[in-house]
Amino acid sequence: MPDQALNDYIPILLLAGFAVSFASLNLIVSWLLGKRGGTNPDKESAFECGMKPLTPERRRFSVKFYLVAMLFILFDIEIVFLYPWAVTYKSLGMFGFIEMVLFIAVLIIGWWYVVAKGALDWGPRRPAVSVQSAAPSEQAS
Amino acid sequence: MIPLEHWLYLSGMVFTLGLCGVLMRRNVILVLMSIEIMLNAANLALVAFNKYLPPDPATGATAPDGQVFVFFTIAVAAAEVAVALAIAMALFRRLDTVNVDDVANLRW
Amino acid sequence: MNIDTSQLFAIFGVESLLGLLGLVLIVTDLLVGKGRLTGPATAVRTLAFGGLVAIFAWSFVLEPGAEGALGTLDSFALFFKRFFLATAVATLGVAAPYEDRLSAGRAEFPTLLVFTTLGMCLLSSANDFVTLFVGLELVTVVLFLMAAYRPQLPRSIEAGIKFVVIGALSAAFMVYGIAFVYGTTGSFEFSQISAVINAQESLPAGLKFGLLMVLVGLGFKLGAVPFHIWIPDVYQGAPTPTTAFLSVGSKAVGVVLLMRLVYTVMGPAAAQWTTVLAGLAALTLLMGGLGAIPQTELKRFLGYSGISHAGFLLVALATHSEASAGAILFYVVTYLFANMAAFLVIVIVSRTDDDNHMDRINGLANRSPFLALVLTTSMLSLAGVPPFAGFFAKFMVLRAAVAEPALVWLVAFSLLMAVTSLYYYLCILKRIYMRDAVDTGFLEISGGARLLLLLCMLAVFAFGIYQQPLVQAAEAGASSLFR
Repeated sequence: MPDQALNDYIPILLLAGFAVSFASLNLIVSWLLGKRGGTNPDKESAFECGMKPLTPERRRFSVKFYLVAMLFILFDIEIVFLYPWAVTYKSLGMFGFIEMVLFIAVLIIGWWYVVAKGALDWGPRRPAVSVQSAAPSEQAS
Repeated sequence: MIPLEHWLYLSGMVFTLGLCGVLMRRNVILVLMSIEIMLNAANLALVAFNKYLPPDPATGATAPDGQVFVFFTIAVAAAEVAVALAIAMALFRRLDTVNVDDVANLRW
Repeated sequence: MNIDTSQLFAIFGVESLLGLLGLVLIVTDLLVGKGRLTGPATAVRTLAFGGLVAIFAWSFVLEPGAEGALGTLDSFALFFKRFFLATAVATLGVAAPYEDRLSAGRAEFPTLLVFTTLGMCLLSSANDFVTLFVGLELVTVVLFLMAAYRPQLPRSIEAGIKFVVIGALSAAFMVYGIAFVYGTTGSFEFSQISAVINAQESLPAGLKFGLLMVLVGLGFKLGAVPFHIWIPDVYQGAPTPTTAFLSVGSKAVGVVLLMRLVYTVMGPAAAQWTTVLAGLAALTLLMGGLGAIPQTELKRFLGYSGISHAGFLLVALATHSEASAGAILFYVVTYLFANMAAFLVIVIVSRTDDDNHMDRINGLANRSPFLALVLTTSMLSLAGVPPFAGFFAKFMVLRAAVAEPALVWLVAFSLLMAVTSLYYYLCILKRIYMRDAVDTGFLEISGGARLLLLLCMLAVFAFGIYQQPLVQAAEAGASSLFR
């Protein structure tokens, strides 16, 4: 008889077994039932909603994506503090409410800063003030 | 109930994996990911410890201090990663590399 | 659940005001002189300076005594809040002549400085691991940005990336350690952890492991061997004002937290750790002392010098007596004045091209007798030569350590290393007075910089000759740790 505690892992074992068998079952069934034949260029190409790929699949993304993604992470994670606050909202009362208003006010000032500095501008349509206008002089020095 | 030790073994393994990643990987982004793994190992340990603490005799419940701490770790880690990625991006733009071995101009 | 708002403000008054100041600075930057470089920068710098000085002055009105669940405002916390505010003000002074070299982000520097100072003040009040962790990360994350502040310079980015990796790694160790301390004691509060630690004859393995990991995390901040590797690189690569702030602020952060942990949390049980701390102190002294000798770069040299000062602080920590705690507080204050003066001189002599090779100070005595005098004072104080404050600081540390028979070897070793360090400080003096100048351009010193240099120099003199007021303040601050 192994360690009694290991019994707790049986559901996990079952789930893992189910996942593996489901995946392999699908593969085996499609292998058995599917029509097998040679390959052709269409079959080898990357799947893009049934159309032929228009551009190479591997290309560099604009650095703007990373900037937006980083800013997204920052603001997104703050939600983590809203959940526990929402759960205990009643018992915290006025104090909790004011605290959260302050918290969000701080976030909004941060957001304002991000927008005003042009970090969310995608194209050259509205050139960013101060950050970009200053950049060339440093490059030159 | 799964004993506490099992959680700690898991957390210890994850932490060690992260540490190995930090020591062996040469790509800055992967090093940062390894550090995140270490932080997650610590989070796992915090939550597990919280779950197994004896309840407060007065209220009959355990205060969720450890889980609250995890919230702080997550938020702080996100801030840290945003700053770290910004610096890694500056590194890539200026020196055209993300390999930590190439960043060794400052010596002795 | 009831939270007393007025009590929270009584504890975190300085922090609240600093946070407010930081937000006001951001808004000012956005509203004043849109799109231009100098307008908002001047406004933000003036506001930051005024605000920091006002909060510093206000902190002398505060009375210690408030205590709550998340923090405490004892005289120790208050002492370090004033210390950090003074450091921030001095850093603004060091940054002012440097600012012309920045082509972007001039207004953000003072803002970031205010937010780091907020984190440092928060830390000095921490009596809970949650406050400790949040404050520490606020400090380090902002310092990452300040180290990589000039992304056009490869060495600034290099400093940033090294600092980020090491800083994040130390944070991971720290959280893991905190998890184990929490798991074995059931609380994040220092008072409860201390009660658990001192109720037991010997610590359980999990708790020992947790405390050790937390100490590793703090060792990185303090720059103790073997966690010192980042110091020389980051000091050299980061912009000089950042280095100045880092050298004093980050070290003091490590000191504050180690003192809280060793003196308050571990309490009497810390006696078991004396050997570990003494060993670390000896290694740190050795590394700092020997590493500084071959240096030819001014900031890197000051980095190694900082490591050896961390060694002296560790000697005091290993001693574990009220006298040694007071000595630490005295030590960091003298270090603040001597270091800030040295970094400001570096900013001025490397004015044109940001080159900090030691050649820059050759023949400084002929080019600017005033700067030469300031740098001489600061170097002699760092070396611990008698009439200056640095000597008395080292003297206090060693006098406290000698009282403990087990540490006599460490005292002897520290003396040896202090004498060794005299060699490389004297090499700097030789460059100032005996060599011919490499760069003969005119050294422009603004009125503000002159005032700050004069202030630092006078403080180093004054606290060396008449130490009593500072000693009393330091002892009062330290005593609240031993209640």
